Amino acid sequence: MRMTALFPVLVAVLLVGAARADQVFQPPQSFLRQAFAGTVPDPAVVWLTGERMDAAARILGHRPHMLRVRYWGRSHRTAWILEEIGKERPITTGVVIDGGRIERVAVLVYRESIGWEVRYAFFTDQFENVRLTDDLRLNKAVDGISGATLSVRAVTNVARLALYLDGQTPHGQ
Amino acid sequence: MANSDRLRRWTGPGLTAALLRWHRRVGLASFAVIAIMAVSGLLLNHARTLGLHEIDVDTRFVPGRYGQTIDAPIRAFHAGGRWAVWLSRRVIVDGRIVGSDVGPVVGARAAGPVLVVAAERGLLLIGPKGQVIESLGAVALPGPVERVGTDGSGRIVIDTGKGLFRADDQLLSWSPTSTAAAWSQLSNPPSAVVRAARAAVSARGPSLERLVLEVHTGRIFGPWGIYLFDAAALCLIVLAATGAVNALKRGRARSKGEESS
Repeated sequence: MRMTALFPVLVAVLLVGAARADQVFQPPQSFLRQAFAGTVPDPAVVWLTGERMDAAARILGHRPHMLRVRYWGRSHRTAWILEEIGKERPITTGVVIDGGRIERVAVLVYRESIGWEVRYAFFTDQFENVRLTDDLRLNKAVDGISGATLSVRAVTNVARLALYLDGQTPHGQ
Repeated sequence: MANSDRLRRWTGPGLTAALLRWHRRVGLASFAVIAIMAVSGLLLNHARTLGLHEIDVDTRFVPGRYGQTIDAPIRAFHAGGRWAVWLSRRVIVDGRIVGSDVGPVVGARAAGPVLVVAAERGLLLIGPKGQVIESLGAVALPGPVERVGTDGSGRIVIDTGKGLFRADDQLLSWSPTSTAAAWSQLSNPPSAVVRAARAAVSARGPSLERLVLEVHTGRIFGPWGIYLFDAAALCLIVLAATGAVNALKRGRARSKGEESS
């Protein structure tokens, strides 16, 4: 009788686990609207050639898979929607930078089955007001999450890349 | 008498001897697997420093599913003298894998030197040397792409189900259009293109980091490998527990001995 009662609980737990894959926490368009108070500017691109490609490769630990990166910018503010693989699948992360400092980091789409804790504010809030040092590192240490090491690394590297690329745009100079 | 013997076996020196015996048996039985887990775990901890993620393993050296022949059906589109092929969840252009995770390819069109490959979940812009210029996902597109074509002026047009949209000359933004377009059509690729695509997909081995992870979890040894490594992990717990109990008991016995002397 007790086992019969436990069965639906077990199924529910399994379903919750399965639902954690491919989760959209915030649609990218909504993130952009929020970043620019409703009026999203036209997109622009930064080309990853020469030194930029080398710097991006140093930040990510591998060469980026594309030659140009799209962003949205107005005044001293830029928004980036970047993808980086955590363990096996890409994590879509949004980063807003204002005056060379991170204003907001948000995990928009998460596709891995573990490590989804990086979406929570206790992790993403650590990036607020963080800027990039000359050796392409964050000027403040970001605490990891046990069991989500690869996701933490991916989101942190995306934040570093966004800060670096912001400095390559007219808005960040 | 028999009862007191049994009791002695599970208390005092009897228990210590039994624990030591089982500690030894479990340790010997699980040594090889635990050693593999430990060494692969160490390698994984330092995989990025060692650059293991950047080393692709040749499929000839990898057993099982990585080396399997790819017999999945092919979808191919011809544009600008090049072939865009969809095979086994991967997009292949000029015999090179240029994308995955974008869904089935629905068409391809050339925009000057750039090949625009449209898939259900995005567009890939491929340069003349086969390099990915950009992968356009949902945020960069007005909707999911159903067809791709070119209008009379050679501009890229996509049919998204929400209507037709025409790209600007840099393929950055899209504006609604009603102009007629020549749509990309499925084609039969030459056998050389099919062979190159199959070779590209089947030759793609995992990174060394991934391979070490598969070893660490036992997955590389097939479905039973996972259970074997599960058992070894449980053995580790048994070893830790029997080792700790033995150490405690010896400590107590030693202190008792010192008191009595």
